[in-house]
Amino acid sequence: MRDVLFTAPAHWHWLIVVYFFFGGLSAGSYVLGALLHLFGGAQERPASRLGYLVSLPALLACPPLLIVDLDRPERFWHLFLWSQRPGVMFKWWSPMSIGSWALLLFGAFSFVSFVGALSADPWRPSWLPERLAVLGRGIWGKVLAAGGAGFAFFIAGYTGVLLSVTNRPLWAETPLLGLLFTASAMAASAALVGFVASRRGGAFVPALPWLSRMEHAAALLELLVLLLFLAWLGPAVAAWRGPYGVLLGMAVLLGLVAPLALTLVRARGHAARGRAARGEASGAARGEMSGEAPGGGHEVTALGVGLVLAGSLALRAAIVLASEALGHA
Amino acid sequence: MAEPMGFFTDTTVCIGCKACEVACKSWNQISSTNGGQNVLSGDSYDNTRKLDGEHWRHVKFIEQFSEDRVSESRWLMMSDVCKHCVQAGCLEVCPTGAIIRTEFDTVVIQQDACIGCRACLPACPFGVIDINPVTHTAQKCTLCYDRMQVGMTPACAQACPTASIQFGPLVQLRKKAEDRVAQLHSQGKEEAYIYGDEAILGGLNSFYLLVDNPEVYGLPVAPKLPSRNLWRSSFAAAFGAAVLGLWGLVSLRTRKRGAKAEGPSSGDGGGDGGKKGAAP
Ligand code: SF4
Repeated sequence: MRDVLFTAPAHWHWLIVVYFFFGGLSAGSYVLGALLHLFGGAQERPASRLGYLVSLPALLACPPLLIVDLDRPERFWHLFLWSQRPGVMFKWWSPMSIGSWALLLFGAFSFVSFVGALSADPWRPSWLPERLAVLGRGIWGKVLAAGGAGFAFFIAGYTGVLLSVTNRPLWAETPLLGLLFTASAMAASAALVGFVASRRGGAFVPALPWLSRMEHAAALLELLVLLLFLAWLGPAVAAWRGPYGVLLGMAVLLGLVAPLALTLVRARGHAARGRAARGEASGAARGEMSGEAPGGGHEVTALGVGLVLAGSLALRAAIVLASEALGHA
Repeated sequence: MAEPMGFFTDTTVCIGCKACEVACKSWNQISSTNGGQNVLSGDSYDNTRKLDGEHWRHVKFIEQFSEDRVSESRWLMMSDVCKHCVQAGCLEVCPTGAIIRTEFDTVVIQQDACIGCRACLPACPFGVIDINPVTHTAQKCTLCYDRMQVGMTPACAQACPTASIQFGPLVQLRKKAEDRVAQLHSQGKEEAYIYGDEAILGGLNSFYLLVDNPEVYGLPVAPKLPSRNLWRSSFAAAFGAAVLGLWGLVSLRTRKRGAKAEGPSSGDGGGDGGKKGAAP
């Protein structure tokens, strides 16, 4: 029998799964915002700010989920300060300790970037001074983006590392979970930011093709890592016989196969229409076509983003809950 | 530091009376409510079932009977407990410093510091720890830290009527265990061996004399520290971040150059990298 089967489960259930999901979205959105900010052109700045605008609200869901999941929620501050004597509590070799600090620090980055982005956004509420937009501008803005992106990548991946640094079946049997969660977080965030950009249209449209390519690259990496992960586990994959296998299947079908197929179909349609417009069609039809698809067929529909997000949630649930169900209850 | 102390549990003389369980519960004032549930195993004479927050000692019954209950019948007993590992997985992952190593080289969860995050539960290679439903904190055997501090024997060892559980300085216990194994070997019980020497997690301060494979007793053959996965898992995640970050960077850069080279095909090109599909 595998040694990992003599261990006890952590009782980490839906609260933790949902935290992994929101943490990944927040981190991924921030990374996308930062990449567009640091390496994109001026016409992508609005979409870059959108990344920051999505990041903070997703992040705000995390601390309540984590604190409520504790059996002694009122003691959550023991994660940051020694409880029996003055001093800072930090253990770099404990994923939960370093993750708690990273979440706190990433929260600071995400907050400042959010304020900077909101101040420069058409949605700026009247009570927010416009001059706070300097928080996202110039060299300071870039340093903030770079630092925040580092923490964001950490948040996206450490949750997988946390699961692996145990003795539990599935989790501790591969080193791939952090990588898998990072890829999945990036794919889901690209779809989410792409969806909001599509809805807002106008200045947010120029970044759509890149967001869509980013989503596909991340989804492809996720698929490859998932296959490698299953191959790595070998016979242990039997844990997904039953309800958790349905979740895993949903993760693959909803989160990976369906969105890729959807964009493929739409890209085909777009290409066909583009050819028709360029070829025999009249000038009028041409104008109509380009008016129909300002994002070059890269808009994310509600269905598209819904599928990807459901897939991302299902992936985390399938991995967390399948292991939780094994070993001595 | 005081001398390292521990338990030597000789399973060959255990009679399954569960006196240790009772003594442990009564000294440590552990509730017997099972979180309000009346839990019976249903397939065994053992109804404690496992170590958890309310059961710091668990006498395992290994009941091996054939269908007719005659041709094969064997009953092994083992009083299981926290192993007080020299390299302890639970201590390693605890994010609050609630789990400490004492002056007796034992591992204790400080109840006033534990936040119930449950990180130690999956980290223990033996599945020893669980949440106590009354205190809502992670609990396990303390090797009677309070008794030891005043020179008393832990409650279970004191109560054990067959000296299956022996308590003392580790050096003496190791010697005793060696002698016992030699004695059993000389009596023809060649299968007797010690589980928990230095080869396992730097040594288990609570170790066992067994007469069958560890798995038969529900013990892992080669228990490991959770941190063995820390670096390789982190590197894989960092690799993923680097690939996606670089891919984002490169695709943004080349797209800008590509768009420039292509020129303003739709007449709205100008500016920093006009977009192919941009609306006029
Ligand atoms: S047996 Fe488990 S609970 Fe006891 S010290 Fe070792 S890792 Fe910790």
